[in-house]
Amino acid sequence: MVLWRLQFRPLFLRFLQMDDHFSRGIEEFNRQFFFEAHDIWEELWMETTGNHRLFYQGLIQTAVGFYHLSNGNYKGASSQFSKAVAKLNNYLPEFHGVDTRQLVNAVTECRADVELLKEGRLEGFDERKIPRIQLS
Amino acid sequence: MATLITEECINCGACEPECPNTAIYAGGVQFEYGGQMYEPISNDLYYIVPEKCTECVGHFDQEQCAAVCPVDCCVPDPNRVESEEELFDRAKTLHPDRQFGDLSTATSRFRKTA
Repeated sequence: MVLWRLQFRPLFLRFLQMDDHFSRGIEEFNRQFFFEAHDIWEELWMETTGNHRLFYQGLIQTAVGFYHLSNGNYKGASSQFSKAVAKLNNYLPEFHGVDTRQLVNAVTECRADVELLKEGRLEGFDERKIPRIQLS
Repeated sequence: MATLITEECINCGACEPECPNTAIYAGGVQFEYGGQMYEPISNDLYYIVPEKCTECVGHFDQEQCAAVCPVDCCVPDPNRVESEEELFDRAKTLHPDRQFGDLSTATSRFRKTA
């Protein structure tokens, strides 16, 4: 019993903390606090190996894309959206409770608009297109 | 080629402490080279001093800045293509007190198999 606690409890607590980071990142993202969302997920990403790593990075790049977009950095936004979609496409249609299909579709649509903005073929970005991360 | 930080950088600073050559500086911060201080290359974003970048040749098997960058914005500079030999010579020049062994898969990305 003591051995179990020594070996597994810290790991269990670590997973709880990681899940807390994940949830807080989603909250910040859905409040459109994209820098904060990226910052929280970045900590998670740095500690993660294995299958979740690219997933977290895809979320980070999604948040950073919207951060760049909010600053008028269209080139940076478009590039981040591309990288994000390439990663999140590996986790369709749902992963870790996230509706990745909905997220990828929304980010893809936003990237298309950003490309039009870059070319001057669109006057402004419709902020209603910014997705909320939906848990499935 | 030296490594370059693109405008996708979000100034998280993850790369700076990882550079074995102290080639990375925050935007607006002067950089040191050869005992002298120089004006920053970028005022807004983290930047890499190309004269101090060895693409981690001599140290690691991949660019450490790129390895820790969450937004994949540390990329090879296509305008500064350099050979492994040039980069290794630079590492030796930058670290005159260090004894470098022969390059291997652990100390040069050029030795990695595809």
